[in-house]
Amino acid sequence: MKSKDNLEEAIQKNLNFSASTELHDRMLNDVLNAQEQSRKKQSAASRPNIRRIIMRSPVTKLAAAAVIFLAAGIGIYTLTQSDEVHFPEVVPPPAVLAGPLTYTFQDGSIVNLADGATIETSSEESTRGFRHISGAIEVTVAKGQGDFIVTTPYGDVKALGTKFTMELVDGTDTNTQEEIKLLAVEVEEGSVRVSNTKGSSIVEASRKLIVEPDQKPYDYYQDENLPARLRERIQLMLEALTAGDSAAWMANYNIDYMYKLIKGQVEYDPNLFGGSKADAERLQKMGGDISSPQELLERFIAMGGIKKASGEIYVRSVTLNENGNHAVARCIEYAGENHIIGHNPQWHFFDNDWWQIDD
Amino acid sequence: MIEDELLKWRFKRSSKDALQRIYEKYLDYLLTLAMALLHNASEAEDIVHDVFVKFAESSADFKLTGNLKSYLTTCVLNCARDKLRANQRQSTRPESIDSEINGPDHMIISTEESLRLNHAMAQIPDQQREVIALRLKGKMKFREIAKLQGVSVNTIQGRYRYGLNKLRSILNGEVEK
Repeated sequence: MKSKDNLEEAIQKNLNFSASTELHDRMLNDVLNAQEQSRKKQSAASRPNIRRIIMRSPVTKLAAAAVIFLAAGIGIYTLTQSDEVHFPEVVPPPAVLAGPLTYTFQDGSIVNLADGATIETSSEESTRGFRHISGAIEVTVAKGQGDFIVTTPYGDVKALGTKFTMELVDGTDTNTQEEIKLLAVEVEEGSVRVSNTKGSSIVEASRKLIVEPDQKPYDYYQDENLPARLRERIQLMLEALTAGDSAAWMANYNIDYMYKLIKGQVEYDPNLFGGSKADAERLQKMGGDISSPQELLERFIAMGGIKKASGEIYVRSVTLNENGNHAVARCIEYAGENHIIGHNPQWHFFDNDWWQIDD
Repeated sequence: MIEDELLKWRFKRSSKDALQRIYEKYLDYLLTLAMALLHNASEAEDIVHDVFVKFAESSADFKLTGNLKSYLTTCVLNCARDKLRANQRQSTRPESIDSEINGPDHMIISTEESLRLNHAMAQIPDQQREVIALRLKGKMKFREIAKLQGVSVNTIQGRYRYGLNKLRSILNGEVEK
């Protein structure tokens, strides 16, 4: 117990109590009995009515038989949790499905669940859609059969004849410890409408949209407060990071300005160079032998350039300053619950264009 | 998390297997938490028993949308607080955990190191002990604990820090003896 860390570790690892076999069995017996008694009470209270309703008409008799058949199917699935079990080709009662799994709905719509994803199907035959509980899914909606709605904790996604992916992010930013919860919707074909109590937005093919708790759906590309060229710059940055393309990434920076800064031909200005003054001075020392902007670019790429993003990059918001010449984005790089890294790239308008100044 | 979602869904439909799995999964964790909070084996056993029985009885009306582990943790915490308040009202002192655990029945199994840590935990204030137990055994965030205790995150962090310092001095004192 010499240090605080050791003490925390000691409590985490060594402070453990467990039930003896006798205690375990006795308590379990009480717990299962309590459930059984509670079930009997519920059942006794409701059974006569249910039975009367079922036996009143031949249609409900058939429906009851179908429910028993479906319940058997679901029971098999939930016990085995295997993706090899095939569901009956009819609309099931509410069921939680866990990935990896491909599930085909009665109307022909298909949902692919990645490992870690879960959804709950709907029991209402008149409703197409399901509830998205966690993880990443890909949905292909059969066309021309009415609305198909996926509900999530942060908003509803209404498909308009389309193929799209959804990811529910729930984790903590590795660097800032900020809790991140959001839904990301990406459309491959067609379009979807994403709505919640704060607003509604249509996502077209090849676009991504983010919904955070109690926030309206956000797609920077549809943000009319942002200049079109800035939106294009953000898009180019994302494409370069996703591809790991250093040349494309550097093309968003004003290389001429950076060259002049390294050569001491312009003053350090935090609006035009994202690093600190000390960073700029370090660059001046390191790049003293560089003789042209082109050489600066080549040197950067030769040094390894940028690292390809390890996961999806989601733009949560972009804020423009009052003068309308400086923008900061809140982004996350997401590669699973244990890999969420926040980034705050910045852009500034100078030399007649929007230039990225920080990543 | 996915397993818990499935267990919740099956439990709501009165699955005995789901209830047993939830019991197996969380019994020792809840016993450890209760022991850390109450430092009394028979009281810890009682509240964990009551929490599971009430949980089992709730299956028909069960409507939990949040995290199952957090729900059970909060149940144990509330019962432990009630028990501590009742003890204070009756001015009763908890019995020694050592005599309970090492007695003839051996209902709760532990190691010497665990007893030593728990004995030290018993000597720090209730609120600090609660934060340390929830943080280190419940793996809860300071923000979540702050919500449970109805105070600010800074206060929780302070209680955590003071509690650890006190624990360290108690444990170091033991070594010096």
